[in-house]
Parts: sequence; structure tokens; C-alpha cells
Amino acid sequence: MASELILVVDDNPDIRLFVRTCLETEGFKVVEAEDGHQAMDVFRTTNPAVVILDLAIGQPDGFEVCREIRKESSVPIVMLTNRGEEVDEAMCLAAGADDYITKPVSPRILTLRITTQLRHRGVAASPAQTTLTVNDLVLDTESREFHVGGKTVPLTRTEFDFLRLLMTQPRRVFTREQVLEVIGSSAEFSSDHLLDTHASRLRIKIREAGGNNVIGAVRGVGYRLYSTQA
Amino acid sequence: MNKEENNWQPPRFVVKSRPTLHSRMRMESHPRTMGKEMLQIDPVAEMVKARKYIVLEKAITALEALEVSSNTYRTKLAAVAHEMGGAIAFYTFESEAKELSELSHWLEKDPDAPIEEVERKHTEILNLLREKREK
Repeated sequence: MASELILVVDDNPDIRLFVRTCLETEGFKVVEAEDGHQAMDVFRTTNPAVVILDLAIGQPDGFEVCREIRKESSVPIVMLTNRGEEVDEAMCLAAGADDYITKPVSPRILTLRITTQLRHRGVAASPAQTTLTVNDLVLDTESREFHVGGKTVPLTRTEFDFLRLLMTQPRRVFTREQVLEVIGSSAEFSSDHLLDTHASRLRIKIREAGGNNVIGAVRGVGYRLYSTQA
Repeated sequence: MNKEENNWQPPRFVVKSRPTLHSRMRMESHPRTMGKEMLQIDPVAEMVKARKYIVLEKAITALEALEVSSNTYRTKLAAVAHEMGGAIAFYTFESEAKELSELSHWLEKDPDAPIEEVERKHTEILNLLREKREK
């Protein structure tokens, strides 16, 4: 796990220093960028394992950088925001981020969140060599492509992993904790709305591609797929 | 070989180890000697300790540099409060950071707030940071 390269993007050098020190203490390597343009340059030249991205970095802002990175890579992106900022998880996730941390964050929590993303990335990097099919949904776990009725639907890494879990056993109900584990988060550090937001975005993407709503929420338990042909 | 040597056992260390916010408490036990309790400061804590007042000073300087007469006073104050609030929060000044964040949010929500009120809040927070520096 240690020695993985982390890109830290923040316009404030003292915040970058804090995050760098936390991560280097745990054995990670760190590269830094102070604005969006530099972030893209460093990202393209260093190919980091995780990107920690502040929202307020001037122009382009964190959302734009996140979307730009997402066009090129499925690297885990963890967004940093100030406490009480008028942004929510939905906006970060919509931009393609995998996780969301509110400043300030303790070294322990920061490291845990990054480690979780890396652990999950390791799992995602060696998927079973199969294609999962449920009704008109086809998920290629090797190429990480998703198709609805033959139409390709781009998914974020988190959305892909969420859907893959559900499609592996379409009749099974997965608990929220099981889904959180698979998408690289944890119940301890995630809000109740995190999964609802991911599920909602998946439903929208499937519906926009002409598919039916197959993602069901089981109240008080978790999520499952249900057949639209039943 | 005397009796004491026959009974020799390797030292047994670490009977208890628990993390604190920026450090780790470690208790060691050795046969026939007094136990030791040590506080191991981690590199993050050392860095924070060494730099916290430098970061605080930067926040004070940035707030002092703002000119009330400027047309962009409110916008700049909101931006400085936002950035510096984010920074000092990592360096143990959490309550002061909260005040800065609240000031920033207030200015964003009410960009036409009366200038006297803005200036008063600006001065208040500056004094708060200065007090912290003096301590």
C-alpha cells in the first residue's frame, strides 16, 4: 500500500504541507499542484493512484478539474471542502468524485479514507473476467464498460462498482454496509445520503439511455436489482 | 549462574498503546523495573507545532492587508476568510477557523451587507487571531 503516489491539489501551501506530511508519514509518495492547470499537468505526467482535490482552487475550480480528470481516467478522486460550504456530496459525486472530506480532517481519518480508496482500487484492478447481464443491462468487468440496450453509458468508478455488486447476484439484497465496502467507503465516515445519491444517479443514467429502473431500495436494509421482465 | 540469571526473561514491552489526536501513548513493562509511559509525538504533530503560529501570522497579515475603502473589500474579505479559515483549521485553530468560515459564508450570502457591520466583524476576527498569537 505504501509508496503509492498521491496528487494533492490545493491553492494553500500550508494545507498541502499538512496533507503531504500526513501521507508521507504513512509511507505514501506525494506530488502537489496549486491550481487546476498545474493539477492536470501533474496528473498527466505522474499518473497518481489517488487525487485529493480542493474545491476552491480558483479557475478552473475543483469541479472542473474533477470532470476533466474523469474524461481521462477512473483514478479515485477525493474532494476537500471547507466546513459549511454550500456544496454537498451530490455535487461532488455528480462531478465524478469518489469521496468527499470536510476540512479540517485528522491525519488518521485522511489516511483511512485514502487507504480505503487504494484498497478498493486494487480490487477493481483485478476483476473477474466476465460480462454481467441483467435484462438489457450489460456490464463488462474487464473493460469496465456499461451498456444499456447496446448503448454505452459512462459511469464513474463508484457507480460502476456499485452496479457490479448488484449485478453479480441480481436477486440478492445487499446491505448498505456491503455496498459501502465495495465502493470504497465506510459506514463510519459516510453520510446516509451517499448511497442514495449514487443509486439515484445510476437510475437517471440508465433511464436516459432508455433502460428501465432496475435499482430498488429495500427500506432499512439496502439495495437490490429487480427484473423488469417479471 | 545465580538464581537471578536463571530466572531471566526477555523484557516484555508495550502493555498498552493508544493513539491520541497527534501522538501515541505507549506504556512499557520490564521485569523487576518500573514501567515506563511514553508519549510519542508523530511527525504531523511536530510539523503542526512548529508551523502553527506561522500559519496564524499569515492569516493575520492577509486580513490586515485588506483595505476597507476598496470596491472589492467584501469580496476579498470573503475570499481571504475562506482560504485562511481552511488553513488554520489544520493547525489547531479550529474555533477561529469556524469564525472565519462563518464570516465568509455571511458575506457570500449577503454581499450587500452594511459596510460598518462588515468592518466590525472584520476587526473582531482580527482581534481574535491577534489574541491567539499573543498567547
